[in-house]
Amino acid sequence: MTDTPLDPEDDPTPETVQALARVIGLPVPPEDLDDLTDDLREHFASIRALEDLDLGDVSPGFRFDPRWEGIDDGAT
Amino acid sequence: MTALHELTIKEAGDRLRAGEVSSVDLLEATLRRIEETEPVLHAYAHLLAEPAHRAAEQADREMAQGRIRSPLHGIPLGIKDIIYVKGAPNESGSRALAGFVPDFDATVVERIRSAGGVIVGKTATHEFAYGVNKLPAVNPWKLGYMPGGSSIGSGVAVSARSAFGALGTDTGGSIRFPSAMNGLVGLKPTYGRVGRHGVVSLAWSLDHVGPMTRTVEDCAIMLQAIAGHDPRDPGSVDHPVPDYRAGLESGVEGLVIGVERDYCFYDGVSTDVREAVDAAIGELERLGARIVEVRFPQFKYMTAVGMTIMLSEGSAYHRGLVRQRGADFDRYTRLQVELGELIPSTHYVMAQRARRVLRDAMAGLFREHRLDAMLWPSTPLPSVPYPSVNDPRPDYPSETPSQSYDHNSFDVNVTGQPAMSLPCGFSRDGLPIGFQLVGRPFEEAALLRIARAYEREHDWFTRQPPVPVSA
Repeated sequence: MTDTPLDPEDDPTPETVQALARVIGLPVPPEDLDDLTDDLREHFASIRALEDLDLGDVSPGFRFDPRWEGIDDGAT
Repeated sequence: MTALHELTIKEAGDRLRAGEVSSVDLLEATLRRIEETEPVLHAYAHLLAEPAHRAAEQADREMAQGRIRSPLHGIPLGIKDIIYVKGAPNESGSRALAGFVPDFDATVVERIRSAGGVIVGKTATHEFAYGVNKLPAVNPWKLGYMPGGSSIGSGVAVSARSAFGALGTDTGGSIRFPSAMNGLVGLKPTYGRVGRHGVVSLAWSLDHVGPMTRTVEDCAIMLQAIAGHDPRDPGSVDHPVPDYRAGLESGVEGLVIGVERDYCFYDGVSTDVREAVDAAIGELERLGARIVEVRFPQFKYMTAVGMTIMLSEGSAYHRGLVRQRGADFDRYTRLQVELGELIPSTHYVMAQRARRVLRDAMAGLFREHRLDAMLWPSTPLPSVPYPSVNDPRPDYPSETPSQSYDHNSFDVNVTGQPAMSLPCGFSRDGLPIGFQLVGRPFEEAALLRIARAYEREHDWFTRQPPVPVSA
């Protein structure tokens, strides 16, 4: 076992994809493995391109409403 | 004389209100048309003839009592098979949901019913609206060609005149793409404009429900019926709903329309599409709009942002089902769900952060140039033979048609802006071409107004596909 992190430029392989899937409990049929690996490589490439975009301290575009449905805000 | 099934929603409504036809007449004409065309086209996943008859009879009774609910009163419509209709199957194009019947109506279905609409059936969809499995319906313009997706049955049914209008959903172009391929008007409203409670999700933060029709006015009529706050949808926005037909005939004099060439008209835009869309731009300028060339280099990030969000949210939604019934998914859909599970959460959050940056940049562009709308091709190329959708394009080998179809569509799902596709001609092969109008948030009325001004000048909207009819 090595404590050297994977090179971020390393592309996923069918073996690493299978291992990842096993860790998260995702059953991946053998016939899906090669295509899934290719798709994941494409995804990583597209994310690398996004790194050019200056995100500064922008928070993500989530919206969460903490109010309780059906409860009058003014009620005590 | 125009056959009943060929009338627009507006025309059919006028004749209903004049007492010249009944809702039952319209429904029976529609069912006859379905009987003629379905053996070839397969636009419907589930027909609802009996409940539709009861709804049409009810509409006629109300009409006889002088009660007219809306311009949709008594009109037969199709509903995409990921939108719940109480008591009707909702299989979402998947064997994994075979036999599933919801026990409530989606908010949009409640609203269609409240407006008096008659639901004639559930229209076919690509599995779970991913748009990647084999075609569930057939292109009425040219057999064997791609009819768009994922609201494929809605597009085919409205084009083939087996529904007067239909609802579709759009997460990355799935209303606008089949509208362009089928020569229709399709509108993806602003994010939050139309409620999604009771709609099978593909990606919560990108999903939209909207109308697909033959004319701009029909589109306005359907949007009017479904727009408005939905307290059961956390993404819904409580924003006033205007009268979408009020300004339809106001023309485009003085409106400013932006055209971005580097990305939206890239080299992958086919000659036929480029010529047709450029002609539409020239036409709008002749009608009084001011055309402004703009730059927006951020377009290049849109698809990566949209895909990352869509895949991550979609896989979260289907996480349980793919484990229980993965073997019943189409292999290509399942690959998308598997892929989304393997995307790191940091990538998802990064995409959601980038999304805000892109939204703000787009707002800045509209403000800087005082734009009322932008305009670009709905798809870079017309329909292609279905077997070739994943092969390199002969005219642009660095892309497959599938990749090209995604190029101009994800942008507005990422920014949440309203967008509509409308027909602007035909390719040399006789296949429909569409252009897209993109507006400011909650300003669908401006898009409808521009679209109507263009529509008045052309007959693209009345042309019918050469639908093969069974004996």
